[in-house]
Amino acid sequence: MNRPTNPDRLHALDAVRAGALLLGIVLHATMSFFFVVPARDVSQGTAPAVAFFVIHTFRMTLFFVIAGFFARLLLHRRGVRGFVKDRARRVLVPLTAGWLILAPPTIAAVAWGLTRTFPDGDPGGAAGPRGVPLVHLWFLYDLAIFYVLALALRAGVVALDEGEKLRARIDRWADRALASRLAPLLLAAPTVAVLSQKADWVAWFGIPTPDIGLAPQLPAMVAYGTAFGLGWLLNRRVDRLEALARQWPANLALAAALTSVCLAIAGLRPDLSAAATTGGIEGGAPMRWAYAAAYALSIWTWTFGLLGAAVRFLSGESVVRRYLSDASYWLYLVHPPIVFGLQVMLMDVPLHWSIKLPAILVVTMALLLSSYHVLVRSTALGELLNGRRHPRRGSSAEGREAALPPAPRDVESRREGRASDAGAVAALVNVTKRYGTTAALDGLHLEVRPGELLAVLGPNGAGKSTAIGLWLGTLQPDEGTALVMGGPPLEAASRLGVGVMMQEVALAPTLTASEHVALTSSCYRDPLSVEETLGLTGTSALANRRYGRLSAGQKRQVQFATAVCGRPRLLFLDEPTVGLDVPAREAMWKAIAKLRDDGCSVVLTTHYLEEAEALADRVVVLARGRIVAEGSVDEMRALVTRKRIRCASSVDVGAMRSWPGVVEATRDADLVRVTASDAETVVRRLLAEDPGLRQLEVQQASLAEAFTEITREAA
Amino acid sequence: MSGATLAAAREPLPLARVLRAYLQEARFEVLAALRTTGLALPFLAIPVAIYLLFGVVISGSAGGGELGPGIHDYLFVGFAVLAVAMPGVFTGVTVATEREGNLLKLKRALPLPPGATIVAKVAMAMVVAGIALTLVVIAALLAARVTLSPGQLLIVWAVLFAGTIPFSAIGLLLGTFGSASAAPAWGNLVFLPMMWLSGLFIPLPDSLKPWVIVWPTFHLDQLALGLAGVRQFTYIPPELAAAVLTGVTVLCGGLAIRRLARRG
Repeated sequence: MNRPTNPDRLHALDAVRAGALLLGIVLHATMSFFFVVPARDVSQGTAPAVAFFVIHTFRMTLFFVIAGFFARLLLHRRGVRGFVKDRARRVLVPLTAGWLILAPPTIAAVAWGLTRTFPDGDPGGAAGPRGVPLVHLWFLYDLAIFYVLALALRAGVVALDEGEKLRARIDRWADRALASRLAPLLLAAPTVAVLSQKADWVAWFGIPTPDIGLAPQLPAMVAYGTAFGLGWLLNRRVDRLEALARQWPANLALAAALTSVCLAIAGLRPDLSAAATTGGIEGGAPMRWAYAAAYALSIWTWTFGLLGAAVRFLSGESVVRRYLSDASYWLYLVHPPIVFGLQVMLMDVPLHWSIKLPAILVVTMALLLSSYHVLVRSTALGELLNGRRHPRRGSSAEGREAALPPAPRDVESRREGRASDAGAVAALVNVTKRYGTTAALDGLHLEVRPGELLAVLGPNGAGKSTAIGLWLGTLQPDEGTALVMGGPPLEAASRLGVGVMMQEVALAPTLTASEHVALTSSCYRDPLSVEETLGLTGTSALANRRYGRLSAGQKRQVQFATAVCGRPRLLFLDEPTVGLDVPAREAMWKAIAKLRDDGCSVVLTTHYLEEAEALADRVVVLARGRIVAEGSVDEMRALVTRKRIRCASSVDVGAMRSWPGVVEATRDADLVRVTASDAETVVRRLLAEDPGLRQLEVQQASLAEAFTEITREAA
Repeated sequence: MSGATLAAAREPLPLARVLRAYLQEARFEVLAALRTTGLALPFLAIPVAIYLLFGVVISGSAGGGELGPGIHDYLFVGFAVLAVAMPGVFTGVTVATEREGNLLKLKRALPLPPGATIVAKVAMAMVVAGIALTLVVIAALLAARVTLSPGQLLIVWAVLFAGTIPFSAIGLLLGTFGSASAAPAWGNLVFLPMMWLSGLFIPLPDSLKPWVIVWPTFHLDQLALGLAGVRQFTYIPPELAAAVLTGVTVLCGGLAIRRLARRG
């Protein structure tokens, strides 16, 4: 019966558990606005009472369903011994340690509130608690009892039910009940029976909270035990959750209607004076039965509705939900002293509850979440409560780096954050960068040597701009390290020697060209004067013209001027000449060549092979995030000396492919197309083999064709 | 390049150069904003125009009813708050535009001192707000409506001028969401309720009155009135108002800086 559990559904159930716990905080925060515990606020309202009533109806049942579900899951993953060990650590330890630490301040806050609410003494004259005050930790106590009962019951069933017939029968009944939509009725029945027979039942407060005394209390045992058992059964067949998911709207609608009925009978706010005599229900025993039935049924319709809605909408992973789920246990454990304390502090402040209640919740959550983040998430406490310790952000990056294989060169220097090769001005060391599931760069290793002009070529989406972004610090690598001027790009010091020209940047349109240069110059140590910069880049004529009124090409020229104004030692130019006319392009090439001659290293990305040809000392071709070709311009040129031969001939193409000098040969009807590395030899042989050859044509392969070929081979 | 040259290139800038970088960034930010007539003109003209219309012409010769002549002081401070809140909140439009134009990305790649971009934006908002505020003060003096002493006027001016900062923080945060074309809509979505529901210049129904405390405009108004000693209209202690405004600044500003560091 053990089917693999879809992790998506577990996310939804995790979210439900967190939701039930967090709603508990809201529930407690409403109390001072309609009730006397922990204090009676000057601003009383019906809405807080109704909110309490609704949340109180379902939240613990929901919690225990999930608890039952995960209990069986854990038992099957870890075995009995592992289960007991885990539950002892994560339930019994928080129960005892939590009680010792949290009960005193919680009780003190409530006592403080009661003395402020009733300065003349206790109005009810109650003789104090009649047992150990478990405070809000009672749920852990009951949970521990359920674990013991479940283990005992399971041991009994396993011993007696050898052929698993009984279990199969239970499963059949459960399936039938859940499919027939009668499940809420069946599940509510025991609770109705217990509640309607309870003599001192205060109906408005539903299932009495067993927070006083260690002796198990019948209503809670029955109601929450049913919930725990249902959770256990749901885990036996996880697809039962799907049925619930489909029925969520009907269940929630029914739940709202039933709760309305309950509120109509018991009143929108608890009537404490009436509660002492009649439990708050007029109309005798029949009415008590009706109320108990409506109430118990509403518990289960809420539970099914919310569970179904969660499976329907909250399956799948979310970082925020994950974080809240992790945090919720701690949040719930620690909240009462804070919530109650704030309620008592604010009780006499003359503000409306609709301001105070949100304020209490915001302050409480801020305190709780920051305490979780600092004290729990990555500490032994977090390991105890949640079973794992989340690494801190900083150390996680370290851990990730440590997990990487060391860089091929000079591990020592990398550890110190220095460029690996002596004097390399920039490096990407085994860098991987992903967008979603696509890797824009895939284990790239690339260095820029001092004084060289490195051209990075590649088709659209090859990863050129990603590489530049990593060097500039505007992107962060998923793996590996980026280094610029001997340090990480995120340090401003690393960028002091760097000039930048990005793609598609809109500078402020109302500033002039010379103002843009002056502005950018101000962040460098020893910039050129504005005039020098404009002179170098051939933009003097644009000096006093507003940027917004320039043509696209002129804008690129001004951006180039801002890139070089700081006398950079390293210059990044991302497709600098796009949109330039021929004279402007040549002027920019001249300026780039001059900078390089002055010792500036340049990284240039471009689509134009002739640009690389005119300028580059070294060329790297990227495709799909990897280097597919690398070499000097001469070496690259060798790749483009291939020629194309076309003719009408009857020569056998298959045989031709093995001729020396032939790279590729294809036939299309009469026409033969040949790519040749040595065109002259191939043509001589062609003419010799086929005297009838016609329409001979020999073409130099274009730069673009060669480039396409390189990148296609890579793909 | 030898290791020594690399190390020299990494030497931090002297303090004077860092300050100069901040200053230049702010200077050109202000210059660019003032030259963008579509942006600057409404911020400068609208508060003073609305003040003249509602605070002077419409409230006219009314003695102020049960509130007495002090009502004119209250209205003046209210409209003056409008004058500083508007350039502050709408800083978001500039941020969104620059984000969309990759300008903030470029600035992250430059060796700008940390925070220079944000300081410049706040400075820009403060300059525009300062001018708008001064115009409202001049209008109030010319219309001879206010009963505040020159000293009190100075306090109000100074408090509101500094009060641009929390609104700039809100604006910066807004600017980190959404596109440039949606930014004015976001700005209005925040700005309009903030102005009309904070009770600065229109009477509110009783049900909305307790809610004025959620709007920073109310707190800035209270801070200015409180520090200037206008007892009649001081409803909350100035310390509380200052604390709320500081909180807004830290929260929104912090979030904005965090988001801009990632997405700018």
